[in-house]
Amino acid sequence: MMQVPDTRPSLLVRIRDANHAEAWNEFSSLYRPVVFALATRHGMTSHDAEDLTQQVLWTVSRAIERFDADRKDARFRTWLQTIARRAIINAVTRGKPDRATGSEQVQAILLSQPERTELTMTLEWDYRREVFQVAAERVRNEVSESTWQAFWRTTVENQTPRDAAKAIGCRVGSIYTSRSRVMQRLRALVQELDFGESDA
Amino acid sequence: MKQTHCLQEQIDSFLDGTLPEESLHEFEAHLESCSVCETALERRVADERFWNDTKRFLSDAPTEIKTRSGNEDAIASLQRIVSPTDDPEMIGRFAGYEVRAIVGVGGMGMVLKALDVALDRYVAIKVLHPLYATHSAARKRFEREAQAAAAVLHDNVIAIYGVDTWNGTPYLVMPYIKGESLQQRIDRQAPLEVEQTIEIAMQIARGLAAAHDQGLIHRDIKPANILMPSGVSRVIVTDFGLARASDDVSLTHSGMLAGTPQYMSPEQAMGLHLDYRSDLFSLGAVMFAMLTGRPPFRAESPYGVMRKITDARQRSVMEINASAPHWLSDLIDRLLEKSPDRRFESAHDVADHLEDCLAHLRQPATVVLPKLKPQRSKISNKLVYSVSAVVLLCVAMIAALALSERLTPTGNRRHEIASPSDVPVPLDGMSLWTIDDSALTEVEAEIRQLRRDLTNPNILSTEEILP
Repeated sequence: MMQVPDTRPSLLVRIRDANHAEAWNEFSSLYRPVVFALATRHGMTSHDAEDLTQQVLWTVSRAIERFDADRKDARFRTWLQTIARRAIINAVTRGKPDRATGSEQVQAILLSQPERTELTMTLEWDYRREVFQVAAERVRNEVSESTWQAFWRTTVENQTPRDAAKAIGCRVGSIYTSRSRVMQRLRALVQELDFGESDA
Repeated sequence: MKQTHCLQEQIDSFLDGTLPEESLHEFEAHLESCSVCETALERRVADERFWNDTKRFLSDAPTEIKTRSGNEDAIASLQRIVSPTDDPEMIGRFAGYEVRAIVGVGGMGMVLKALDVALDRYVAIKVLHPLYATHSAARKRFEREAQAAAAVLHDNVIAIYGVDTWNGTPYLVMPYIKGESLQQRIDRQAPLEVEQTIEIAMQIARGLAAAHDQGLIHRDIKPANILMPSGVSRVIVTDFGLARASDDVSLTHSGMLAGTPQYMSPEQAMGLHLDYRSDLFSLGAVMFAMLTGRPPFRAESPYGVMRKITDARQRSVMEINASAPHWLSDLIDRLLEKSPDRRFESAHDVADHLEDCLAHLRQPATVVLPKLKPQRSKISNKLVYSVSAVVLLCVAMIAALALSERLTPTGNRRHEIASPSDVPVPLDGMSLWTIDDSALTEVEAEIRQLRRDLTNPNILSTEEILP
């Protein structure tokens, strides 16, 4: 059975406690490919993108400590998502990852609020797209082939449930349940990384 | 259709996973005939904006997302790539080899034990997981590993017999090594004997030196990647999967560092530029583990480990293992220095030093214990030069002052000034590397005091200097 995201404490909230290895692993395994994809999409070599990914992840992980523990969980989540989004946008805007500069300085730069330019706005958009794609890839590997196809054909490729059911060889009702399962999981993963609101 | 009325609770229980399997069929049948419930279900899983975003953002997704097959277990995926064999002992045939067993399954591939029929010897075949065989970045990385390891010919580095592709699946062939990994040895025997620890570390250092000479940084030195063939005392460094040429700009490791970073260097943890000395840090961590049974930096989460690697000082080995001599403890601390500048200069240096240590252990009467080289100062090069410039300036001023005072017939000075000979002043940049921090701190304090004195008109006025 699929996990029900809403009944467990938010992943991001659990990360704050450094003891939650699983939560951190899950966050970084989702976030890392997003940063990497965004960096390479914006012209960075994969080598640089890899270093940059580690820098950004490191910065975000350190920023977690500075969050005021008394705030409410929901605000923590929004806050961390903002930090994560800023870090990646700043990093990609700056180009090649920093070499000689001290880590403190790098962190300060990555966590500052990005200027609102055409580039950063494009990056916001791309960030959200990468989040969706990474999440989709994850769900893709969690569900069966027919479940995925039910979702993909009717949601992305605009097939009617009836056509999709015929192609997959299942009943129309299964198309509805299958794609709902995929969407439910997809939304949970996307929300771990991006609240859908920008800094503005 | 037995039931046509809508059941909100069924949607709830379907979504939280509590709908019994036998009711699922009924629920699906109901959805087919009831658009109200179907729409309600859609809205419950996501709002309209999210459905639209999903369509929009996934429409230009790479084809991998659309076509990649789901989870497969190793046996199933292996069965897809091997062909049948007549031999009941064998799992199947892969390229020219008879596959006997799956030795290990990793993130991106698996290792098979197979018989090379032509040469009648066992080999280990590392196969890129079929899941990744179509993934160009993964393929490239796999090929790079093969090239990297193949370029290093050394007793302490795994040999590569060949690299090829079979039915579209890339693989590389290595010697099959019967034995255990250093991790298994540690789990079984830790703490290891001092002599054994040094012997193993020396061989790892030799293997690293050979890789470094080829311009390769291993980047993933840890006990699990060190093989200990049974029956011999040889140690073999394996898994160049993360190795990177120092000038390489084309390689992708998007999945790197996803695991436990316990043996990672601080510069690696922070994603900063790294060089060969990063491997030396990892070697220090491996030595620590051999003598204590655990890595130097431990925490519940990888994040906690990274934090400790960059911020915390490790406990000294001799505190944990009383049989470890202080010089060995110091050596490990040297390798685990946060700043690469303060570690050894090269893997060759480490290996030579360890060899001398070993000679001393075996013949304490005739071979003296090698001394660790003095360390580079903690402060940066630039600072050293600017400090030395200030020092020289001060020396000149003091000298001038002393001279002028000596020329003054009546010494009415109110303040004692340290004579130049009291201050350990280095005369050139290089010799600065040989002084330790405490001396430098003293010098700095002296300089600050002198500068204050020299600029303070109450202490030293021009009238007093010039008669």
